[in-house]
Amino acid sequence: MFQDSEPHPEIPEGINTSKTHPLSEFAYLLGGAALVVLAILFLAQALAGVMVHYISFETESALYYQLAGDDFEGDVKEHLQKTEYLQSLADNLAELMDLPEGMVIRAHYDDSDVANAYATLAGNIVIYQGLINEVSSENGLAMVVAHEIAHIKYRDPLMSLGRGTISIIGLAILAGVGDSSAFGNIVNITGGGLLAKFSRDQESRADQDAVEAIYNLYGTLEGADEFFVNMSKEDAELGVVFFSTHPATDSRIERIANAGVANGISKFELTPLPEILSNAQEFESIRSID
Amino acid sequence: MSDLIIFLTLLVIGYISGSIIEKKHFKSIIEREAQLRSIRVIGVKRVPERFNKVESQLVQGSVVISIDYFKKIAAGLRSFFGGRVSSYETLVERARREAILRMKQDAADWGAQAIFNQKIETASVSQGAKGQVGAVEVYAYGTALRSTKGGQP
Repeated sequence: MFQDSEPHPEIPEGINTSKTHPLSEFAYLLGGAALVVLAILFLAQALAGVMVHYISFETESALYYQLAGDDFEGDVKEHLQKTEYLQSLADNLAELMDLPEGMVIRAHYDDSDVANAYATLAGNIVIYQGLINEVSSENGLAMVVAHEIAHIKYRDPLMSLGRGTISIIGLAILAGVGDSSAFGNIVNITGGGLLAKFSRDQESRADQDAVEAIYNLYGTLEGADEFFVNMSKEDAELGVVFFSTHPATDSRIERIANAGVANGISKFELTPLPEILSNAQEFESIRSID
Repeated sequence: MSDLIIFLTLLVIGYISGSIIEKKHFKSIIEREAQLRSIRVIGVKRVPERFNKVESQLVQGSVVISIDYFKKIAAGLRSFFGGRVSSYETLVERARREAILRMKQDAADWGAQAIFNQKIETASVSQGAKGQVGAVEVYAYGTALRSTKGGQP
């Protein structure tokens, strides 16, 4: 049929494909995506910071109790003595911490074995029995309580809620536009790191304030690092600092030690924990990782 | 943290296996194209009248090729920023050339010298379903011609 004609000429390669190396293209795309994510999170952080100024502590409290109800009421009745003790400790510390006017701290006791404490909206702080088991003096416990009060002072729970909400919405839009679950994955990874960094900054600031309050209350920083020392003795640090929402325990102990050196601290007597708290020592405590 | 490790592992596996397979495939495509170059592929519908003594038969070849995880991620990012989706370009190029090669092989087995009225159809196997790795089907078909005995095409 075509015996006498030339065969098809060879088609040169590379017409329909691009010459950029897939990895370098990928790096550019990834970098671009990370920048967009970071921009959204910084914006969320800034917006939340502004928002906090427009919501008074009273409004925050009113909204919180209206929406969430008073979850702590049951605990207060059940553990009246412990709650009263924690409340008086918190009141003593709060007096030394320059809280804005109208800010009220409500301390709560939780009998679960998790070695943790947290501050939440409307000035509520919760101390777990598991954490109390980890300290042997009031000084150590007061450090944690003061740390949580400092979070309230800086409106950190509200700030975190605002930042979290704004960034979740922003990132959801981004992941939706990208139309790929993988893009969402990248968003989570880069975004998670930055959110954790914001959180670590809050924690460090709260530690700083707590150290000051402890020094002013007891005249010593002796024992203030008890909780962190005990935690780091028993747990190896898990995970990488970049993704951790809290500063590494060792660096927190060091900060307390440095503050002690700066204040020229010598040995002082530690204040013991009251009987009502320490009689629960027989509980095997379970430590939370975060 | 474990999310990140899983993600990176999948990415690396996808990239390495994808690149090896793609490289081998392109090499094989280029070799087979050289072997089958004597079969002419022509787009026109009507066979010229001077090819009067020929037999004709439908020949076809189809292929389904999947993207790897790395390509999927790269394309996902690309769909946000816009521009050439280069990770799909090689995929579609491979599928198209492979389908044509299979069609030509079909024709060669039958003893054809040329294929007229060559057409290509494509389909996305996953239909863009979320969370699924996409695969593309390319189907090539045409009318193969071979000379009959004593014919003088």
